[in-house]
Amino acid sequence: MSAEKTPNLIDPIHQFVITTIAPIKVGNLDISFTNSSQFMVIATIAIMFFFMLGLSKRSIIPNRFQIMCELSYEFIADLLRTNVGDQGRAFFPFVFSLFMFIFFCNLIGLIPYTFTVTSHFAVTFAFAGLIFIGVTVLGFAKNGFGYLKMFYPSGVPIYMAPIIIPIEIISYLSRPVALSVRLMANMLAGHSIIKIFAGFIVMMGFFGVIPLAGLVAIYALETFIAFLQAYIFTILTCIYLNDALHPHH
Amino acid sequence: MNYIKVLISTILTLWSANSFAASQGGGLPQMDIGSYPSQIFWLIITFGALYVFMWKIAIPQLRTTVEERKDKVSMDLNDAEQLKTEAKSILEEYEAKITNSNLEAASIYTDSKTDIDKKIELSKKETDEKIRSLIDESQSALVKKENDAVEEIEAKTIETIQSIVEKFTDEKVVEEDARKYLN
Repeated sequence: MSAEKTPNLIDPIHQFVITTIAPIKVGNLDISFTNSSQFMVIATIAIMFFFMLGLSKRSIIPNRFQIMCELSYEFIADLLRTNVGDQGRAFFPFVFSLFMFIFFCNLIGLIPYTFTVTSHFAVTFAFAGLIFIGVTVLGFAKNGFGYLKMFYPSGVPIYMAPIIIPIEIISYLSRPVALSVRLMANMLAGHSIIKIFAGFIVMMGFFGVIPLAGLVAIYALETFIAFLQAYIFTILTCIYLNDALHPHH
Repeated sequence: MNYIKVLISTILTLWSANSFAASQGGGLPQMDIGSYPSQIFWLIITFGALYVFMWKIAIPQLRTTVEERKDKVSMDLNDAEQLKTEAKSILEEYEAKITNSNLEAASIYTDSKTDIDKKIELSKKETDEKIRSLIDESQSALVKKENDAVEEIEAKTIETIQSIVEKFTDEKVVEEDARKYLN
């Protein structure tokens, strides 16, 4: 009801609208440069700038930026090592890029008037689908048809097979959906709530300090979630990679 | 907490999506399939660029930096360990030298002490003998003098006796007779 009175102020969905900046068409395909693309580029450049700054003066005793770069490097390297082992080394550039990209997109999206790239299903599903296909191909390439044993855990009695195998297959197939929806829904929900609270502040006038306090708390929580969701996405990728490399669990 | 938040916001989102749909003529922007090719295309370009940057530039540099530091730290630790053992051996050497010189000093002390004691003893003996001979000499001289003096006194007394007797009696007293009166 209040949305009808001030539609632009309270509408929490408006921030997710994709607007075209430079229209590009290849055949029938619309690949215009949009605000989403703009913030992908910004995130990428921010990450590159972050590492260029941190690695410009590589010294034994690091400065602050170098410490941040090395911390993120060792954080993801440890994650990959503990979850996948030494065989995961080859995938480190991908996993590291993935974490940094999602983390920066999430963080940049928290700045007012920006666009959250990871709040769109297309982006998160593109990642999740790539990981799903990559892990499946890798699993079959490394283990041949032995990879199918993943759907029938050892130690399960044979009469359980008709129940277990479909469950395992469904859970395997639902991985990309779960992975992408988790990230996208968290971003969508968090940013919508922030917008709604911000709307309340304006609507309530002086008493807007109450939702303002809530907004500050939620903003802190969202900052944490920006990291947490990037971490969850990355650790799940590591776990799927481990399943593909060592399927006998 | 998170799930409750997602639930609430989904409801709110759906509720406001209606008003949005009414005003804009569409559903959630996330469901607009027309925007998918553009998103995926630019995602491939940006993420591809990031991947190449990470793979070729950032990660090798990070790796060398971290490994160089690890090498340096372990090398420094090794050096420190080596220096520590060196210092220990030097300390042991020093202590051994100190004990040696202490022993040497003690032996030198005892040696010189016995030497000096012997010398003192010797000179003491010599002096004692000298003193004794001197004492003997002077004693004998004293005895001689005493005897001489006694003899002289005796002679003088006898003479005196003789002269006294002569004066009173006009008789000459023989020395032997006079001697009888001496004692």
